[in-house]
Amino acid sequence: MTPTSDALNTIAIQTGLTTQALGQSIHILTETASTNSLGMTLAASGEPDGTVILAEHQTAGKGRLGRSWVSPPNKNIYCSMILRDPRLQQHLTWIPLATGLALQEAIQKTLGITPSLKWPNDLLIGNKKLAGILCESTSRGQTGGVLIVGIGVNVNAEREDFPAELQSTSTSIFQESGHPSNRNTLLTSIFNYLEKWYDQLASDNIVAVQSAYTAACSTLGIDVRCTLNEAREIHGRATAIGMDGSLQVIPFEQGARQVIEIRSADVTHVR
Amino acid sequence: MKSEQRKEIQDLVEILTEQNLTEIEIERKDLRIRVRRDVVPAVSPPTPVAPFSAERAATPHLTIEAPEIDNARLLTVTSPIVGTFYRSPSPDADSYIEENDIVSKGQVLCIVEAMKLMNEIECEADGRLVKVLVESGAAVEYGQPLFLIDPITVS
Repeated sequence: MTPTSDALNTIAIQTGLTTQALGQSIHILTETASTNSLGMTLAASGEPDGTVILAEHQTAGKGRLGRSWVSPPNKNIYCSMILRDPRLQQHLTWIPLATGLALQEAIQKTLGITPSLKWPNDLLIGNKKLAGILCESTSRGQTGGVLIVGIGVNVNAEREDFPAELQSTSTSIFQESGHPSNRNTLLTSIFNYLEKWYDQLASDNIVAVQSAYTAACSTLGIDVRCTLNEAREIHGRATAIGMDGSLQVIPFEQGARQVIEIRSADVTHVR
Repeated sequence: MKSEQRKEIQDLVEILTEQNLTEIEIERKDLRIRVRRDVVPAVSPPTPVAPFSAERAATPHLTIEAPEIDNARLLTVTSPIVGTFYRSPSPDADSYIEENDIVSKGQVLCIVEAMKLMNEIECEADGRLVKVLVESGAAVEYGQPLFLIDPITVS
């Protein structure tokens, strides 16, 4: 079966939405360079907290450190959200993790598929990437700025929709389940779960987020390779999540006993 | 002339003298400023008495003194989170800013990344970037100084 087209639709998404802010205002575009970049621009022009930007196609989807996010048209979710709640500012580093947790929960509850949650927030099936998250924020002095959360979920993309070099490392819900899924329904669920976890952060309930994340994260308890930069790689056992969401790793280097806290790295599960 | 333009020119004059240059020109979409000075020999010959005092008064001599950077005046930009400091948006891109560049309030100076959150640090005031304190790619602590900015004070 070939995935059917299910155009993104505001009314369909807002039906069943239980949020106060997230998704109450939705912009849907046929095409944009990057929903995160557009989110930044719209935020600067004063769009309210919880505003959502969706695109059927991104021509320059973004990943970490200038990498790209491949965005075949009309089949997947490319979504960015504007978050302005000042209470989130002191828990900024938890936002990427809480987002991954909510995304995993929404996919599991809505579609019956359980992707693994790789620190900090990639969703995988086996070793293949199903969804990615890129958070961007601005800070100026003591005053917090705006926060943009971008998520990309491969929903109905077929193998051939990805470039050849990504076909062995990416997957979609369609490829895993064998049937198309409704993106609007999934988005409703994603917004509901996201706001639940953001509310926990806003009410300083870090312990709840930390413990749910620890239970969900597949990186913990296994051997990992953390590439910090071209010159530095750490090979060790991931043991816990730190107080700011960092990944605690005990290196295998001879004589190394000290826990290293990882905050910026490409993490690969070794086993 | 607006007071911020006056300050901007004064700042250029400061750079001119500090760097011992003779001319600086900057151009933006709506404005071009050129500041020039004639370098005088360290030992000047005795100035002859001016025969036409009226003309002399019409072209006042502009004295430029090399300014001392007042450290107490400098603004320190600090990291709001523990993370990794990047001076450019991607490894191949140019730095957001270099030392001695003029910066404006709200301009992005760097990124501090933690947990795949790319946090753009914006400048708090108009001024000049005096010093970059951290190397790109280095780990930074909460509250660690990243840049020193010499703010332009609007009187």
